[in-house]
Amino acid sequence: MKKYIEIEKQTFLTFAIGSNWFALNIHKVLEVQRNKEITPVPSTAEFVLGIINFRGEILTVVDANAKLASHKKTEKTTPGKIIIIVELDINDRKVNAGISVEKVLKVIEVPIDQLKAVPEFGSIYNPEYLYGVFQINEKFVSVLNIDKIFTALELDFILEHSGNENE
Amino acid sequence: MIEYQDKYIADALQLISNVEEVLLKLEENPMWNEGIQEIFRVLHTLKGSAGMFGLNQIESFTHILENKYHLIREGTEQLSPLVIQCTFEAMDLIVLMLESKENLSESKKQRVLHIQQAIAGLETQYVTESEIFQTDISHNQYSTPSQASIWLIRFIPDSDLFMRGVNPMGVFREIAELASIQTRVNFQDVPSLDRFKYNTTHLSWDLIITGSDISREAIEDVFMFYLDNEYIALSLNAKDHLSDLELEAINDSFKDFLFHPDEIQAECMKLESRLAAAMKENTLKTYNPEEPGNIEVQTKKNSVINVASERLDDYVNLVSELVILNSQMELQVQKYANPEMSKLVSSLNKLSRKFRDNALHMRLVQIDVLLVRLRRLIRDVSLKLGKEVEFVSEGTDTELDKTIINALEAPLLHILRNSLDHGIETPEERLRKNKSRQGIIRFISFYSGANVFIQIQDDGKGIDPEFIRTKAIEKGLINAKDTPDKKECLALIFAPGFTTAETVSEISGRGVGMDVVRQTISDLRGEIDVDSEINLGTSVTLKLPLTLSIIDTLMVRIENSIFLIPLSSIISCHNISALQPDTYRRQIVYDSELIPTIDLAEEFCMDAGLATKQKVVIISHFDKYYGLIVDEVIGENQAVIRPLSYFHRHQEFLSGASILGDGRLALILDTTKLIKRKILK
Repeated sequence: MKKYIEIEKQTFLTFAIGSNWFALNIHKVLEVQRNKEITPVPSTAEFVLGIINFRGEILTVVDANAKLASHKKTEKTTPGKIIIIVELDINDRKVNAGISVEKVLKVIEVPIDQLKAVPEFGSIYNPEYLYGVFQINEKFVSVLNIDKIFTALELDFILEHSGNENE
Repeated sequence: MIEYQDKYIADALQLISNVEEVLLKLEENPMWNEGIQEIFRVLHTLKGSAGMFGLNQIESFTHILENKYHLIREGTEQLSPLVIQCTFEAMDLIVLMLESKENLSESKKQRVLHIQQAIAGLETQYVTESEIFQTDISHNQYSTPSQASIWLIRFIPDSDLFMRGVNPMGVFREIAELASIQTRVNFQDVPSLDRFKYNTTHLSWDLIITGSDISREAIEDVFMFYLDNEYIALSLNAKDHLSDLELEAINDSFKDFLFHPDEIQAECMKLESRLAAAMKENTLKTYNPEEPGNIEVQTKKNSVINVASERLDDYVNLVSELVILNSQMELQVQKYANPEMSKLVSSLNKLSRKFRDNALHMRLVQIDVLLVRLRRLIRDVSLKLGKEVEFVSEGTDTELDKTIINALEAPLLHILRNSLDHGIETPEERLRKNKSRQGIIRFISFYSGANVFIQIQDDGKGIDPEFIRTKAIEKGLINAKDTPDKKECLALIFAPGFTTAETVSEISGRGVGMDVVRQTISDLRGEIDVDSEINLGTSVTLKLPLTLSIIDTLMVRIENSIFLIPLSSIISCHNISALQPDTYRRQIVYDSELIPTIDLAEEFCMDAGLATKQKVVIISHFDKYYGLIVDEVIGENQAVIRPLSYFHRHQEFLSGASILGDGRLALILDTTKLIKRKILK
């Protein structure tokens, strides 16, 4: 009998921002919503598109383009029409939020040994925000550490609000 | 373990508030037997579960109190005011300890020590009595064995023992106090390690108890936290079934118990079979069926279910979602004009509205849950101040949202403290004024429209407006030239930093009082008002919304967004051109006064540039008027408030969002904070 060594696989939702591809662990994704009207919130951080109603809960929607491309604005992008609703762990509490993206690609399974570490530098994204990268058809896909990104965002929110007070 | 500990703390706090309520009644009627029983039972529970969670300090002093109440229950002692006082203080102590999980600050440690000493004072009294009691037992046991009673108890606790928060060790400790005890532990039910669960019990025990005159009631008391099927107690009346010789043999074997466990086991087996035969005849008599009264109490308690408030919130959210979905459906159905369908949808609509009312009702709590704390405060403070006060409450079945009730406690206590300290006079002073010795404080609550009113009235000396005015001038709160009328004078007590007390007393007078009260009430979207007549008394009235989650609003449009302004703060709406705006429309004339305006579009950086706004909404904030400039006034809307998301929790001037009938979201403005923000800028 042939002996298998089963390699554990992880499932990712992939999406595109400009020409870059990203992936989110499917466990973090609650739903993908299209053409949902976003209600803007006045006096808030610029990467916040507004709020939406998700099953009776009010969620903040963040423009993924603005935040993920923010370290080096190499391409001009417009906020997408698609909202990925994610479940986050921020400081030990579960928080839901939306990220707007231009294009959702597909759901794929990736054996974990194909998941590679991020180069220490040279990437336009902060390596701290990425779990790793994998390749599909010669295209590199960055796996986002969404919890970390939003924990960092939270600081921006607080700074934004206290900034308003000092104006 | 932590989860159980939290549950224990929640349960204990509930029990303590029960004790306080019972104690207050006992104070009026110390002979009230059920009350004493109740306190004994609660102390016992507190002790048992405290021991289990390692809160040994709590365990030790509740034990002393429990013994005290035991004697009182037996009729050996009277319930003295000292005991009641100690019990009150013990309850405070437990609350302190539970809240800090025994990490107490220095000042609190002092207090703990003080109370512990007071309670220990009770013990010395007790110890002497119990010593006599115990020597009695040993005397009887050995010299006159014919009076001894022997009990065989098989104790097999259900596996959920720890979930119920009872500590089986308590049983052994208590029996040891009654009589001498021999035990054998059965390990046969302990599973192998892989199936072992840390939170279930696998042990059972056989106990042999020898002592003098141990009644079945005494045994049942010990096992009061266990179900009937968890223990079997067989009594062996020495006289009836055993000769002196046999009894002595048993006693002897007990002495060697530790060295010959097999022997004693064999002895027990023999005894058991003999007893089983002997007991067959009088089983019915010995197994006292529970008294019918007890059963009734049980069922009554079971009819209340405690639900975590988050779960209830989830439920309310889901139901609100249902209502919204339903109104969206209604809109769709109207488009297609299918009569059958619209009939169905309209009945669904009715049903879901009922659902919502029902869900909101579940959050409502009767206001009388607050009364125990209030009564307790009045009792303590009036004692301290040497004043005599009668507390009368009316309409305590009025219901309010749980959140509001919780938030109300501190302000109500503060208002009462003020009434007691500044309002009610000392008995001597009252007699001089031809008033009855005892002052009266009334707590009245009632519904009116969508609001609940709470009034606290006292028949004390009242507030002198002239005195308030002088004080306010002294503190620089108003100008010496100002001549406020009486109402304005009374309102000054809510000004920040206002205090009339010459010296800061323990009771009141820290100067952080009434303005904080007013702030809390206005945070709850309520109002506070005070009225007073010199020498007749003072009355403080709180007006509160029934629930926090529904609010009446005015729907306005600013650019493409819908905003909701709470109706309670709105005075009126106008066309802006009618109010003589200045060129930049920064000010308008209203009520023949120049008032400032806030252009909301500009404020929120949404403006396309041109000031084309037509409408102005006049709002009031601390009796001053402000104009909010908007594009369009759409109409009134009853909004279900949703909190803004986690990321917006630092947001000022928005109190939440609401889902409109068509599924869109609208932001709810917090006008108070909006204006504060504008003033700061």
